[in-house]
Amino acid sequence: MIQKKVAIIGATGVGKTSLIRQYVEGIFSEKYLTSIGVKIDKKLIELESKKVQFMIWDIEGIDQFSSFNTKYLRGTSGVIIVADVTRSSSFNEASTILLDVKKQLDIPCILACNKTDLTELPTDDTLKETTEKFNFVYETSAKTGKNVEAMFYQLATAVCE
Amino acid sequence: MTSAKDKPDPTDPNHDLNSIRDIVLGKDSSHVVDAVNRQAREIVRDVVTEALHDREQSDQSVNKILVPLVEKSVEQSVANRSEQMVSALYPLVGSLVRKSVSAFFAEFMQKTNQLIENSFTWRGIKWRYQAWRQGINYAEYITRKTFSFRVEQVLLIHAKTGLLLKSISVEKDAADADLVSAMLTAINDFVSDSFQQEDSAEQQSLSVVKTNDFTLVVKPGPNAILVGAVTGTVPETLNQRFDLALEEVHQIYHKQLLTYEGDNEPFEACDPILRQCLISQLNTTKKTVPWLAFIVMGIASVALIGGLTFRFIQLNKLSLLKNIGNEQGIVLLQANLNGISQFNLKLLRDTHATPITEWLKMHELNIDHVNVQEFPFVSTEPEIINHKIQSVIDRYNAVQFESMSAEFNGQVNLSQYKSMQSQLLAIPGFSLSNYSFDKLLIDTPKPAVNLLETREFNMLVNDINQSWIEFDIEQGQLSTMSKKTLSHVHKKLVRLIDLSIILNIDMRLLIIGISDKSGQSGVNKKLSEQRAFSVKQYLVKNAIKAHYIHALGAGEIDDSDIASNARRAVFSVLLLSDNNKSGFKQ
Repeated sequence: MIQKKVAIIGATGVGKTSLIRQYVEGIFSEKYLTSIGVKIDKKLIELESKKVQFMIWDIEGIDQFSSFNTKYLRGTSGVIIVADVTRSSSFNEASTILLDVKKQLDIPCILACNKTDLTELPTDDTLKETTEKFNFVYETSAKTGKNVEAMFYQLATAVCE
Repeated sequence: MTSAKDKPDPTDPNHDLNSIRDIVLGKDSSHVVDAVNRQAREIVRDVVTEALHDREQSDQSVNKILVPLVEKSVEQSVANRSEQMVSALYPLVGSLVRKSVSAFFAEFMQKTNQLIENSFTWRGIKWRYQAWRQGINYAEYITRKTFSFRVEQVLLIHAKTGLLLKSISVEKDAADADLVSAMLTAINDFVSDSFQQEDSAEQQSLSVVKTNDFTLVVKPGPNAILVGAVTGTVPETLNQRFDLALEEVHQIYHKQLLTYEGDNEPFEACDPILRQCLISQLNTTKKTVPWLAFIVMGIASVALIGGLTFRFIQLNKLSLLKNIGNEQGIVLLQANLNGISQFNLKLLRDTHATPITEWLKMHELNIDHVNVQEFPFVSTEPEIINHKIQSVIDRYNAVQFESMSAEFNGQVNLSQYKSMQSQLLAIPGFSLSNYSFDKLLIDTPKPAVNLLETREFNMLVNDINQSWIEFDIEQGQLSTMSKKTLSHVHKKLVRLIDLSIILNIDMRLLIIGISDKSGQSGVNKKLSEQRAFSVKQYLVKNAIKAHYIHALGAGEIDDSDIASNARRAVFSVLLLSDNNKSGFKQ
């Protein structure tokens, strides 16, 4: 078994914590998230050839007034950046985050277009431009669980390559 | 056979050189191989120790190879050559066990003392509350408080990723170490980010995190962080120990730390280094003489000894109480201990026997502790009869009773004598024949000459003198018929004695036994004596005082009148003195 640190980042309210809650059963209280800006969970994923334990760092959402603590990205093997399909501005913020990440690390980055249970993924050019910057893009729903498992499995495969 | 390919090619420019090499080294370098084989052993022998040392210093691979080999060898030895292993370990085992047992007892006494101290004191109650509040059991809380410090868990964390490399702990169910590591790294990052001054290049880092129960000692290194969860007060020596361990980890696992990709396997071998940090120290201030334990043990011992002594005393008392059964006039039915200090007695007691309360006092037993259930009973034991005789005698001032000689003495008048006699005869088990009244003087009033009584006296003398008792042939014992005849004589004799007293006449009855002439005269003499004594015995048994009667055997009687039936006893009333001789006839 190998361990990997992965981070999940996104603008405030895009549904990062909900995605993790959908995926793992949290052990730590979520108050850590508001206290120090991060909450950590773990999940064991069984790939075909090996087992990978993800230490998932749920980093507090960013907004126009604050960015995330980039120190939390140290040693991260992969990142999921979450955007809200009902809020187009969240895709711009995802682009910004991706730039911040890429400045520090050359690691697999997945875009999770969340809340697809509410509306469909927009098809405008700006969005297309954004999605092309990512290694993988998933339409997800924390509510229904759509593509959540598959997205993390993809991330595990990518970080182990 | 060589192929064309193996043959030397004369056109080859190196042909000459190859030829020279073959001459010097031989075909297939066999000379060199032989030489190396000869000398390799000597060469390796000289450097093998140093080589192993250097390799171990370099990458610890020697230890890695040797440890499994040694473990397997020991395992095989235990399985296949257990006797040899036991013999080899035998000298160590005794002292090992002794040391272990003595250490256990010392610690046990210490812990017991602390447990007692902590259970019955304000601090104990406070600790119980604290343990409850923290959701841990009391014993665990005490352990934490007992130790001056104890390193509960040691975590080795990869500095860059915050991933846990290795964790060891005292308790098996230690906290989820990987999540703790990650959170600690996050907190460290948060602190570092929050408190770092803009113009300072120095990286801020946590070194100690304190909670109510734990102190997290954080030792950051360039590539790894060593964290110890410590209970109690962290001593400076512990910091030094952690520093050394972290240095050692960096020294040994430098390469692995730099190239870490999430695989923890290489760090499994760092267990011994981390285990050096898993240390503890007992509270030395408490390591005094465990007085409280001694006091409690002492009290328990005194209570035990006291209890046993009390029990012993009670059993002795019970045994003493059972002796009451030996008292005259008392029959013990049941004696047992009821509860701690009460005794139950169930007995039969004659009213003239010693009262129970008196007996208990006599033996210094507390009456309040004895429940007596008494049933009435008539005893015929000699002492009780004597006691009853004494109570009768006490009514007559001038009469004494000697229980030792069973004699009555003193003086009574006739009516008193009669009354006393009837009272004595009413005592169960009393028999006149067992007592002597010879020394008892009976005062009879001077009777006025009474012709009627005198006449009756004379008639009775006459009647008795004319009576005889017949015996069967060769028999000295009274037959049924003879007893019937003798009972008439007895009645007359009783009346005669009474009259003799009234008339103040001293009289005796002579009983003469006789036999017929058949048989030997010696035998007949004895038979006649036996007949006389049988009659006397009967009369005495029936309350005729022995001193009134004389019996003798006359042997054969040569008298034609009675020779036909001479198997008899005859009577003769002897008048020894009288105050009115003229009126009496012998």
